[in-house]
Amino acid sequence: MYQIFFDELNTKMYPSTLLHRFGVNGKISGSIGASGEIASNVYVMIHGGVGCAYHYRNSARRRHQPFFNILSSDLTQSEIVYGGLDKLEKEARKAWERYRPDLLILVPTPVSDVLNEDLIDIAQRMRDEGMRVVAVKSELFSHRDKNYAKIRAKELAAMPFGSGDDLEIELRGCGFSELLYALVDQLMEPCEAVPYSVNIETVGWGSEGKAVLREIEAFLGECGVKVNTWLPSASVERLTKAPAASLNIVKRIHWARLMRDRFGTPYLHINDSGRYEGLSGICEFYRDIGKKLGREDIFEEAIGRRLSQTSRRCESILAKLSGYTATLICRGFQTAPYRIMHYAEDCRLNIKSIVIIVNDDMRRDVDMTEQMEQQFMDKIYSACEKYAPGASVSVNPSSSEMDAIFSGCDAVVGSNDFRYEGHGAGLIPDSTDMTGLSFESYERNLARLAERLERSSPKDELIINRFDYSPDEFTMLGNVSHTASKEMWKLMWLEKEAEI
Amino acid sequence: MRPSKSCMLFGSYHALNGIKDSVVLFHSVIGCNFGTLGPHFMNDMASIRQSSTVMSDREVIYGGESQIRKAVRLAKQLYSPRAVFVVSGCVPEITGDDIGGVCADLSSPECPVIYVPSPGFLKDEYSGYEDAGRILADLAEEGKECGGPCVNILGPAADDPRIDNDMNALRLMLGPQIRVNYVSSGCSFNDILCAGSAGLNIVIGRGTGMAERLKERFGTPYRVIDYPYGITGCDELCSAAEEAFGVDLSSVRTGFRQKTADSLEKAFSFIQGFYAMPAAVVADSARARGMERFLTRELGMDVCVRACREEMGDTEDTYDLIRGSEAAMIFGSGYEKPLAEVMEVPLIRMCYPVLDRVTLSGRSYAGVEGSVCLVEDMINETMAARNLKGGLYQ
Repeated sequence: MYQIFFDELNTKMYPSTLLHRFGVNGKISGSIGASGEIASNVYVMIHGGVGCAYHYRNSARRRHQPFFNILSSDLTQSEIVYGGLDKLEKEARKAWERYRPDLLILVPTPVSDVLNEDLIDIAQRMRDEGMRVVAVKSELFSHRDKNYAKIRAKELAAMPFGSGDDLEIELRGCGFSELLYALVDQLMEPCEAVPYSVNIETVGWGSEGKAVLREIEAFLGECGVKVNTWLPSASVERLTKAPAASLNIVKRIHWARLMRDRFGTPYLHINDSGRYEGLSGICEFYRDIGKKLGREDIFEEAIGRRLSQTSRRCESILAKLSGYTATLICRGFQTAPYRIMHYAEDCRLNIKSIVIIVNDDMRRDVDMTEQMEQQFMDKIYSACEKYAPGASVSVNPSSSEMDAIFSGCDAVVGSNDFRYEGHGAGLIPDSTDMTGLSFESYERNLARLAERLERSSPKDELIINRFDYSPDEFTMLGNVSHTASKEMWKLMWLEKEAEI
Repeated sequence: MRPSKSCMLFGSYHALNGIKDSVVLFHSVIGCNFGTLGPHFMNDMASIRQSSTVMSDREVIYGGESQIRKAVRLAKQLYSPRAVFVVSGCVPEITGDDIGGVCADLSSPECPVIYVPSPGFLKDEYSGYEDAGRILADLAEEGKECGGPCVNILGPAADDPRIDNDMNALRLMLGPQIRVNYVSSGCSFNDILCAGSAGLNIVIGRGTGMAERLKERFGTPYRVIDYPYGITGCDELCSAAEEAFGVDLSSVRTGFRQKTADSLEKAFSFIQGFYAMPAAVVADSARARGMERFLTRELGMDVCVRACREEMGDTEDTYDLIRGSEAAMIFGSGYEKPLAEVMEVPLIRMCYPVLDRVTLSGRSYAGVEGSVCLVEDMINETMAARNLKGGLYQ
């Protein structure tokens, strides 16, 4: 029995957010993460020293679910000098004999990248002998493109609110994408097309992901569309036949582009520019699929049916929710316009005030310029005008101003910052809001919000409020070890090229 | 139905088996002895002070009084107990053995033999506990003096998980100024005789039967509190003692807050993970309410289902509620294991019966260390409950 919130809890028991204040994992973790998703007996051989295969079992991408089937080519000094390919091939063949996996994946490391070793060639030779082996090709050295967040923020700022445009930015050097690319390149085979079928990339669907994907599958079924393969969360056999699908629904575009070029499979990118936000976004998502598959009419009919069902079922909840006044807290500028739309339009809360929290670190992380900031604020005002006319907007209000804002409403939504507890209005943490791209998810979310508002009770003795946090950041402590390590990491990583 | 609570006999047993120098003798069929023994074993298999009169068809036809006589004689001989409590089951109460008469006949000042009627068909576990408590209160003697502020703790039972540790934590919470006399989960027969000398009876959920009777007989006031989990539980306990004795326990509370924060800071990010997380609590009312208070006010969790065993009918109805909820964790007894397994969520075992865990160390769930242990278990059970099957989809 799948419990959405246990998944969420399990995620939180891996301190990913905190860890990322002080470091970022190498891209091998992404490849391991993707390998762990494959529902077959998969082994990964990391072409490097034993340390990589030892510690990447606990790859950050898999939280507390280590991927144990990791082997090493055990590069030592001798291979560094004379080359490690022979040893890799020997170890790979040995592994094949010993484990007889459904798939053996060879993953490069910075060491093998420095040696410029061609893993693809070994994989090809082994495949020629009937062994199912693929090799990941390293696109960037050591880690993914760290400028991705900055590029994305710049592009997002320039997009007018509600434009509905897609935002397709390729993330180079992502280990996850690299592995998917290898699967397309070396595992997938041309096969007979299955009409009106889709492949869906399974990773990156958020807290309700598992449930939402099944619900999407059911809706597509109503429209006469079947899911051909869950990528990469399927057996090796299914992955091989992925090109039979008529459409790929993807989160990452690098591998999807290869599949389009190699097998002619078009793709639909689930972008996060706001196009698929809220109930209208869910409809838009299905419309886009229908259009790509040439079944607009059938999809439109099913969307209409579901929309009217959903509206009927949610009528009383929405009526209840519209009786609440709320303050919306948005951390950062980027998502704020869509949060306003979501809480005001989808949830029908009466938004009285909008508080934007943004600090220097957040600005620095995305190279925020004055122009970008103004562009984001314009979008926030547009959203406000459309969905929450009359609501006040404040950026970084003081504590006393915050108290005054809170006192004018029934609830505070949009934030997970528990430090706002005890300021009068009940806080409905944002972590409970998890609408995915299914109508069911939208309904669940509304019901949950209504329940939480009804059940709201004082949380006046919070243990987590007794820790000494960093003033700007409730996800880390304010002691020297935390602040120094974070600053050190930022300077070394994000501002590596800067003169310090 | 899937019962949510046990019968009167279990209630009597729980009121009595904390008396360490006495014997519980079940005048019943053998199942009653074994049924209570199982959960007791998980708590303390080194101390077995219970037996049975082994009623069978012969006693049903000819009466079981001779078996009581035989068993009491043997118990006195083998255990040298300070008292023998004869707890009757359903069968002798139907067949009409004169258990009270036999007990009175066998009783002596050195070793009272006390009849505790407990036919399972008559009342439930919680009523059984209260009835037995009244019997214990009647044993208390006049003229015993405690000297200084002194409390009795009523409600906890010897087979409750980690109860000795919790009671030690409770003693620490009350500080050196207040002496703890009788504690229902672990005491001597003499402590019961002295129960009337306390200045306050603290009733943790159940035990009002005994508290009322002590009030009638000795004028002792009582306060019913929820199980003292966390600082919020400590506050309630300390307030009761402060009001009764005019003492100041503010330093205890301040220390509690500080020590909890100091100990838990090492895992602060994990603890943040519990914030807003939905949970279900199924337990006796004192623990259920105490735990709900701790989870809500101190961890910021959302208790979406709180079920008190005393008020529950068919357990399956409660399970339906929980299955239909978004609970990410269950707090309950070992009996909730299958539910937690089906839901694939962690189970925190915090109330009787716990059949798949032992507590040998000093780990409590009450008091400063208790808060730390509880949070530690919540984190560890979550991590241990990981599901290695299939993809993560996140």
